[in-house]
Amino acid sequence: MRVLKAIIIDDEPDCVKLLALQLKMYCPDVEVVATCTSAEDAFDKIQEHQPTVVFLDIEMPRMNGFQLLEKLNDITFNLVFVTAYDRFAVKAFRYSALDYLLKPIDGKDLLAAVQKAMHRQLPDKQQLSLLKEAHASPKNFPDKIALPFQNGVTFVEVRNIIYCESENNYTRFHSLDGQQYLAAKTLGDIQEILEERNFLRVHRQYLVNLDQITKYVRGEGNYLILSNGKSITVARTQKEKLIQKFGWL
Amino acid sequence: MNLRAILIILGLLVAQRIMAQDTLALSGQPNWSKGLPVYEYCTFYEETGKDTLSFEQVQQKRFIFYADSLRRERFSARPLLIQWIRINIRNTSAIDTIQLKLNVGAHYFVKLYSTSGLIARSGIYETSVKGFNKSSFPITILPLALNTYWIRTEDRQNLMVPPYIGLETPYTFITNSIDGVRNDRLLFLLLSALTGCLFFITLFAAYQYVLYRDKAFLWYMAYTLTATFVGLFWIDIRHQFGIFSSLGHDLIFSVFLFFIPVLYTLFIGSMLKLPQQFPKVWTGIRILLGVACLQMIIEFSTIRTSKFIFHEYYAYFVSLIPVVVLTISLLVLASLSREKVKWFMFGGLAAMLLLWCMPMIIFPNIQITWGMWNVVLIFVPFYLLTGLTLEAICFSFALSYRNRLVLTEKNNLQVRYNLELQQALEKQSAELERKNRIVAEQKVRQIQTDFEKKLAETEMTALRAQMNPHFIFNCLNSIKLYMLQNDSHAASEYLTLFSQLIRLVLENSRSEKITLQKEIETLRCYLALEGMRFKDKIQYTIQLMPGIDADYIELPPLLTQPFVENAIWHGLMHRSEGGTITITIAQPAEHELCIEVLDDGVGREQAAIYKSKSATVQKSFGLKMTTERMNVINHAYGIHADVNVEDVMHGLTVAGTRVTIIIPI
Repeated sequence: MRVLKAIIIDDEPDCVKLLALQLKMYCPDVEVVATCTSAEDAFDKIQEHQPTVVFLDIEMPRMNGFQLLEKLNDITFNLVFVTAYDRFAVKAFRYSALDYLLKPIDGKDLLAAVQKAMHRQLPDKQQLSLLKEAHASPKNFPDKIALPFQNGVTFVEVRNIIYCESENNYTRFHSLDGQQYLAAKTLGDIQEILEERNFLRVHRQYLVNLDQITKYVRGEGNYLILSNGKSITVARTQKEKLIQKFGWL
Repeated sequence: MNLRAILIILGLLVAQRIMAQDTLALSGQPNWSKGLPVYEYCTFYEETGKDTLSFEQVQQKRFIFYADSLRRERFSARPLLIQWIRINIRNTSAIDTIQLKLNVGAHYFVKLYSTSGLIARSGIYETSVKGFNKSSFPITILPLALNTYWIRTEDRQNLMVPPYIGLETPYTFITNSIDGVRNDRLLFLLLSALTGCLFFITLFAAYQYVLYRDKAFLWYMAYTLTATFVGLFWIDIRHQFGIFSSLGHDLIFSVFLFFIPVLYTLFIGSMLKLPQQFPKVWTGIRILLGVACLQMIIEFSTIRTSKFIFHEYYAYFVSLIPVVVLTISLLVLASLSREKVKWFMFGGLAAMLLLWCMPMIIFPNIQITWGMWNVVLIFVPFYLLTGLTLEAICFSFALSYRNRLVLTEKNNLQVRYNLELQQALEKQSAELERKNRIVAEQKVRQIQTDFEKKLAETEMTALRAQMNPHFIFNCLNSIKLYMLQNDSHAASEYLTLFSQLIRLVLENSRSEKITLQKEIETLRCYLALEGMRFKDKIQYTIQLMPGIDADYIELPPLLTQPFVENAIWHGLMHRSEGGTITITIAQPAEHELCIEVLDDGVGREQAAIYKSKSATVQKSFGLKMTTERMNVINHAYGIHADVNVEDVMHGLTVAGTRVTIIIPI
């Protein structure tokens, strides 16, 4: 296995130290070529070392993580974001399908992130701009969501999604234009992102866009009819939530 | 008639016969001062058979004396009277030729025969004869001659003029005529006035038609115009002006009796909307109108040819039935009509009918002594014209009234329309106002909800989750590092400090107020932890001015911490070399506590520049946030704390920020 060149960027010295220590412990393939406690410093180090992966803290004084990425122009490395607690940042990561770790970092998570970083393609511009957009205006939701799949990332308009269907560790998206996307994420992950966008997990198997419901059929086994004609069973336990959302039924 | 009456009549007849002479003897041209009635020299025969007789046949008949009593009676019940009067006149002078005028009185048709046959014709209906006094035939009797004349008169029973037969000398003829003209002047005046009246109404109706384009006016105009011509016609007849040509004369005379009812029927019909109201009856009336038109043709040909086409009952009785039925139906329909002007129409029609029946009542009572009035009253067309004029006047009243009704209705309509419009407008504006009010209420409610929500949110943030989670997890991260590094002493120290801070925060957030001592401890813990995170970058001092009882003074919990966090993140951290935070607590007055947070960071302006560059949302409270937070705290605790933020200047450069919190205690 080849050695991954890594750079750690965090304004807290303790954090840098801890991550370097953890990488040594869990991921012996990773060689930390440089550590920085400021973005200015990081800019030079990245140019210098051309790392394979960068562990980047968002929140830093003077120049933050996004500003650094913007300044770099071309992203020639894989990114793993590291943050202590930031629900806005987490939301932005999720929408743009970028990897992130939460401090204090769990060893298993770290290993998984590194392994992913070894195999996946580099983040593209659109993902980064989606990230920036989502983070810049935490009160507005991005129009699109990035869906990772085997060979890359697709961007889907959220309002065009009719429903999502669980397929083992993957999720199948059914879009208004009739297309389907198989994303490399669990339905639970997707639910976390889309729940605040008027989506409801009406069934273990299904996450439904409530705007796309055309009919609710009562009776034995309640089910919904969606705008594309698909009927979806509503779990008994989820019926209450559906009623809460609509205020009727 | 009883037997006695018959006996008396017979007696009279005999007496007459004995007394009468059947020849009038004159000795040369007489020199009378007035006309000579010659009834007693006349003999009389009336045709009673079905067929009319020829002159030859009549000559064979037996004539009886034309007694005074006979003249007053209608001899036969037939509607058409054909009477013959014979008179013999002898000129006893041997040298003098007599030239006289034989006045036969007014009749429909008159023919004068001598022994050699027909010598002259005349009569009201006879239009081929022109002349000043149509009822007088000039006769000439040569010396010693005996002339016999037969006068054939053809009349309808309805001729109301009393019969007359007399002789006039040229002198008496002229004086009579002059007297006649004198006597006629009142009649002429009245007829002219009535005709003028009708003519004026015609003009009036024509103008009304031009204004309103209503068919009713057209019929009304036709009616009054025809009536005007009838008036002129009767003036012409009565005063023998000869205005009308023979054709015009015949035309008017034949049709007016039928044409006028046709016109007023159409007028009343269109005024009272009778065709719409009584469609079935109106069909009948149409038929009658058609009959009347037919009758005009019959009548015209009768007059043109000087012969009655239908004899007997038609002429007298049947011919008038359609018109009478028409008029009576019209009266009934008018009274039944729903139109408001109906009584004017009814009145006009009734007035006309009444006037046309007047002669029957008045004639038997006319006194010769009435003079000029006598002349007027015996002239039947006078009643006719008066009736027509009265009717026309009534109709004009009806028209005016209808116009008024139309106007009133229009006004009412206008008023109603205005009212409706106004109501609609009011309704609409009320609706609009209601909607506006709802929208306004919604807006107010929205604002209120928003405000309350915001307030609640801020309160929550302000009073509970004071510790930045970012900070908490970073602390934990650091502890984890020490543990992994096997630096148990540092880890333990760090953990103790962290536990202390968390305990204080938990305690404080549960209490309404905490002592100043607790607040200072919390700040110390917090600053120590931040210092450990960033190693030697952060220095701090907390100064408590002497004389302040920190255990006694109470203040809202975690009031100062956000300002300290602010100072670190927006002041110190933007400097790579870090800086110092100095917290000074003073009590400048009895009931006033002053906490000053001083940093030697980049200052607000520079911090704002960094902030604007960064696309992230700041986790610490910004300046706006501090003010808001103060407001919420003031609101929640009912105090009036004040925050003052200012730059610390070092010469001309900014050398930090000073936040002064003044709390009433």
